[in-house]
Amino acid sequence: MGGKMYSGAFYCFIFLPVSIIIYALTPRRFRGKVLTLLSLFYFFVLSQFLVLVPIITIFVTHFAAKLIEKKKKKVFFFVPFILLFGALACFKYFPLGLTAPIGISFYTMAAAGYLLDVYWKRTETNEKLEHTALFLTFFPVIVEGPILRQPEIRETLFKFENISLINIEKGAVRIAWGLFKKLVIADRLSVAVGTIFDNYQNYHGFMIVCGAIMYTFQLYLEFSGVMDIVVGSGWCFGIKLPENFRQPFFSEDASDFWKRWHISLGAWFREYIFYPISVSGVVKKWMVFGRKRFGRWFTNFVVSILCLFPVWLCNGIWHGSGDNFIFYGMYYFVLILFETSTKQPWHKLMKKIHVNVKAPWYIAIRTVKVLALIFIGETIFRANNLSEGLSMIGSIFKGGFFDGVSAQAFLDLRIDAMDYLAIGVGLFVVFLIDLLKEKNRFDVEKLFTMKTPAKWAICYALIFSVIIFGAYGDGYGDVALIYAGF
Amino acid sequence: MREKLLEILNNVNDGVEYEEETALIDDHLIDSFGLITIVAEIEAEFDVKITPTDMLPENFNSVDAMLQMIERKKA
Repeated sequence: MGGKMYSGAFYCFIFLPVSIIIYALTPRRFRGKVLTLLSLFYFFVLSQFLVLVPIITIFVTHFAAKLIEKKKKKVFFFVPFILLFGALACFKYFPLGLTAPIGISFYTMAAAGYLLDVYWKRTETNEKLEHTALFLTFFPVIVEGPILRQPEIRETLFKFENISLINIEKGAVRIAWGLFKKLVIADRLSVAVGTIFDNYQNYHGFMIVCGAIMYTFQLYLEFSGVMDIVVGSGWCFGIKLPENFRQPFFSEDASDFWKRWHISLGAWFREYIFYPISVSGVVKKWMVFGRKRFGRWFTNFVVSILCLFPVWLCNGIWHGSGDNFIFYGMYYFVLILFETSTKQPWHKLMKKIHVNVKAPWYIAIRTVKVLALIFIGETIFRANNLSEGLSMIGSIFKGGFFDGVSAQAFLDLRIDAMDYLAIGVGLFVVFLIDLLKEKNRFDVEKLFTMKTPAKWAICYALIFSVIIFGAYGDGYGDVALIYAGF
Repeated sequence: MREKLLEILNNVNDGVEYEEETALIDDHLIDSFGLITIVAEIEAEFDVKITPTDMLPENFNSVDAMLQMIERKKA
């Protein structure tokens, strides 16, 4: 299946270009239907007859939304809701031996969000069935998101603009950039990371730290690289899909990290769990009651628990039923609860002792701290289960930190010196681009207004680095997409 | 009403020029915890009930948008 995914030749060189041509030849009023058929066809290529599951989801979601709009009865909302999440649970959490349809965790979230938006009257319902279908299964987003939200996406998704050269140029460059991140860097890291995580008993100290860092970079480059391909594919059709990443390693703290990492998942939980709970009767009553008796800080502390706990429990469970995923969710729950309840006192303290929180040394320490927290979280996330993850973290502090570290130890991770060079150069390029983006100095539009030779020099450099330095051949094979497994 | 709302907003975060901004939520000038505090304060101060239906960026992106929402709720 790996070869048919977004980073494979079938998608990039056959399916996407052919889809663009078919779309371009179709009159506007049929474009929604044609894109839907293309999407379901792509799904069929990936998951064969399991395509029935998203088709049923489309029908249930579409007609349930209409019913909810007409008669605002709770039953029309709860029945489809139970159906959607029941299907998700059967495929994903219960050991029935079923293969889950690809992307089910993603389109189920989109469907549930749409029903909630209609129920709360935050969006209009889709008139046409193909609009609901496209919203749930538009082929670039079906495998691993971004999870779309109806109020945010309807403006661009249902416009069916004409194909334009500039949009295709923009899309193609973005896709090439994503392929560079995945094939040149992430797929190489994947080999070394696999060696450490699958034989974690053989490593300790510095090597485990390297494993944690390499996995976090692998995950970032792979997931954000695929998102570049996804957003680029959308561009080809003039559709502006939401961004899922925003320079996550420049985060101030754990809460900031989740505004920059898998943004669409965090946004879903914020819009459909966090806010609704925060304006619910229980929380409001507690606010009035708590403030009179316990003061502001403690009242807000309890409100944070009430609103955050369900979000992070769901975040953990969403990734899977493994105890490491539940721990991962709870880990961020504790970190973010701690941050929100100490932020104000901390800043007051810093002001009192005259510490400039904008000073480079302060930012440097803060960045090291947040990166360490991120690396620990991703180690647990990647481990086969919680006890392995915890024992990996524990083994960092066992024995001499640098014992057994040598150039040979790194070469034994099954990638060679040239691979490390490719990874190093690749990471440096990605870091530079992210740094420029973070400082608002990066404007991709400029590339397209450059003189032709300069523009093509950059494009060729990107394309040839993917072709020449991509991780192909013996020892690599197709590396399956990590998030396609969720 | 405007004065009171500005007081609420400045209590949450006094580093923002609220009168100037038109994308408080979209530009992340108010974060999710800031927003739920603002909602609680608006409810207490203006005696209105805010529901999930109102929790849309366009209702909180500017001071005017918030005032309009409160007016609408009071009517």
